[in-house]
Amino acid sequence: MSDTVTELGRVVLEMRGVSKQFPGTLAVDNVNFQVKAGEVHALMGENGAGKSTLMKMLAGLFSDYTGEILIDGEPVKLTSPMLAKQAGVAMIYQELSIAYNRSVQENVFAGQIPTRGKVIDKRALRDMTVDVLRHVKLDGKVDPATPMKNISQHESQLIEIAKALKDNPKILVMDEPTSALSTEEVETMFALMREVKSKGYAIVYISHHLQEVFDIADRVTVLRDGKLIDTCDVKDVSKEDLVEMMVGQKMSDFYKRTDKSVGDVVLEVEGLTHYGFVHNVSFQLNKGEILGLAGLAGAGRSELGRVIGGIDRMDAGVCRIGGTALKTKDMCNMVRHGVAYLTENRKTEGLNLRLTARENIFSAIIPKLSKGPVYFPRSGEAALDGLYESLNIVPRDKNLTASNFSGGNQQKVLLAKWMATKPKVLILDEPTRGVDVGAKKLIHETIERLASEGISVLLISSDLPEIVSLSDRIIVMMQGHLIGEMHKEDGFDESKVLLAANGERSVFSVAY
Amino acid sequence: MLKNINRNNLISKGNDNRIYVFLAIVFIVLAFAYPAFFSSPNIKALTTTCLLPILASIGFTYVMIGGNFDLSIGSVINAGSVVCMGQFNQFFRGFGGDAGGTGALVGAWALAFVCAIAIGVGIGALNGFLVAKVKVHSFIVTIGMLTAVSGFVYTYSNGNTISVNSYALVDVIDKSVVSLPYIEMITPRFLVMVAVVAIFEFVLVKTRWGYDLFMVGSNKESAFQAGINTEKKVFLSFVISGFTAAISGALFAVSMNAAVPNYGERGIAPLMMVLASTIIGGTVMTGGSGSVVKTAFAVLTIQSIFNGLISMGMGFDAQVLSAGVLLGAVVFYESFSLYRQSLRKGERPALLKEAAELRRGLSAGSGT
Repeated sequence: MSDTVTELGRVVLEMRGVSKQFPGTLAVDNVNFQVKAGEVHALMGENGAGKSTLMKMLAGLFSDYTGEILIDGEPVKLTSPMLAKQAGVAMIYQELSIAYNRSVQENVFAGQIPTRGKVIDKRALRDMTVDVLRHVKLDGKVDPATPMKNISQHESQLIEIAKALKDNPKILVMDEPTSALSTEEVETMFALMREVKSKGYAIVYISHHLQEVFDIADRVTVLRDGKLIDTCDVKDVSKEDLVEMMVGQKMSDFYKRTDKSVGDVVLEVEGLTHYGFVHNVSFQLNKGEILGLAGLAGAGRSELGRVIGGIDRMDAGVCRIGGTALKTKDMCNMVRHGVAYLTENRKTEGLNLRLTARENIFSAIIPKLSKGPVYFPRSGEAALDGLYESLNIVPRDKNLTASNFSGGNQQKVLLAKWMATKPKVLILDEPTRGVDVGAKKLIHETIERLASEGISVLLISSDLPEIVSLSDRIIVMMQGHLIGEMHKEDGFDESKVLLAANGERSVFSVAY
Repeated sequence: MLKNINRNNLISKGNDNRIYVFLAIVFIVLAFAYPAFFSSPNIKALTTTCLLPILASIGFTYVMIGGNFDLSIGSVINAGSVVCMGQFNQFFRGFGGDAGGTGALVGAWALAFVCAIAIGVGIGALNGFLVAKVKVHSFIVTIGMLTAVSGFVYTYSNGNTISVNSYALVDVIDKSVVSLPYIEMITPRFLVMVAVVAIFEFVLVKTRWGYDLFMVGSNKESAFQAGINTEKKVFLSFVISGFTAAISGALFAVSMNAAVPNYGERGIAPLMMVLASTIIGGTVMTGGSGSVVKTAFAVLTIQSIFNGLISMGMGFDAQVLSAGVLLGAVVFYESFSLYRQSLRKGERPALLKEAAELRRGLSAGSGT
């Protein structure tokens, strides 16, 4: 980072009355947006509010936006990624844009490989890469010649940031940079962001995490339905204010729990082991119970869920449903016995985005809708109507291709798919990741309702308020082991769960 | 952790250079099984069979590195050969035939090669336009082109073999530079092949253009965002493919002194040979990794196997089978290692130690 430090507090980016029309919708409607040097500016809104469209406009991905964009007071036309880059905009995307079979150095300097004459200068490439990695303190840790496929996800993300910083941008746009990171890794990222902003860079930060916005941002802008709602200082607003601005209605009792009694043991896991991922895990899940499974990223929570769901193999241990030991690593068998696993990757593993909502929802119950070898999808229509109604899937069109739903409604379709199997045990892996506030609320209500109807839920979540308010009991994993259990009667809150996930044993009701 | 990464690096490096291991194994086996394999005449014969597929595979490798397929080369090779032969006959007559002397010969050959190359480049450009600009899947574009060009070849040649009455050029390009044993395979045609391979390998690994092509094949989106003109890269890779396919066909026809419209329809098609060699040589089928030199060595490996099989009295059925088995094994290995990699994603090395203890405990428990 050479010293092109911009005077702090000066307006670096100004978007004046910008709009972008998509077929059928006005995705961004006459928005005014200002970012100052040396600030982290959070951009918030539900899915489909226009955040991503606004940022894509800034990245030069549209050539047909209307309105004016000024950078450092100069009007610019950002009609190609190259122009945007030259104007000083650097993007760090949610889906990492990594070329996995090329090396770190080639990724960092893609399109700008140094040459001597016509020939690649490998030594310069290496030295320049080490220089760039110094920004994110990875110099000496990562060899620039390592292929990207051998680099961990956290480091890849830091490399992406380093790559963005190397062009000396004025504005850095970060789209959900923390969604795949553990708590410590988020802290590292925030420390880095504070350092970067103190040097005079302007950072636009897109996130669904309310807490993160209060932790890192200086100002916040809220969009709803493509329109600007307000821009304000973070210290002047509360979480409730922000949520109200986003959803447009007063949020009352975001999470509600009524006490209820739980029944007999439904799922019993004993000594479950998947070599290298999950080690010797034992727990019981009762009828009608919501059991939270907490832990930091990489603790082995999803891996445990996948083994019970019958996706990954179980190397040792027993898994009993209603007293019968089941052969796992056989998803059909697990589904037949009433175990459903809702994946955390809805776009790649959960839904077939090219099929319609109806086909997606029926995909797990084709045997149930068949007589002999013949499939009668019509026989499921009534159940489908019910699911649409209870989950409030919008739009109501059952023949709409899954990719055309918003993120929140895709998640509802995925939940409907597993609800249709009428499970006894529902394993939910990050059921509200990346969905808007409205859908989140509805999914929470649905989970509660399912539990009160007698379905046992294993809730895997990194969202602390979610897991705290929904769970009857929380079990905590760390580095592949189950380390303890927290009971509702002993009282748990977000900070206790976070401590537990970090290995603090005193907060457990039962420590293993 | 660091150790783990080093091991991964080592494995990926080993796999990248697998073709040299294959070649060494084939050479060692043949040295014992077929002593005449390393005789000078056999080396010359073997090298000659490699020339056509190696030249044609250069462009094919480029296209695959860019993340696409060019199946049309199967008929572009034939187009290059019939156009070269046919146009030579026409130009040579135009220049006065034998009466025109050396001037007429040189002129006619030069123009004939220009025409052949123009056909190849034109077809490549059309492929490239349809894939890069119109965004049709390369498989569909080039398989259509394979058929269309095949039709053109039959029309141009009326379905007949086109032969040439002049032996002047073939005498030059297939004559050994030095007539000594073991280096007699070095002919001008061989040198052309080496030069073209060297130039295109250099472009790939030593210039920014090559690095950018790798980036396009590896991740098109990030290449685009890095400001690389991805459409132009893909377009040019197809043009190169058309160029190398046409020139390989033209040179082959010259050395045969005749061009047939259906070369490769019976026996081993050059397209299959090129496709198999490119994949076996280590070019990743989804793009982003590969090498022209390694593809060339893969051609040599497969042709050596064929050569050995023929010496053992086996026909082309056994040759096709062996090439198929090798290709199948490589493709299987590629997908299987990808699958294995995905299974181990996120694994904790520390837990594996505990797992080993648990396993010991279990086996001890069952023993008592």
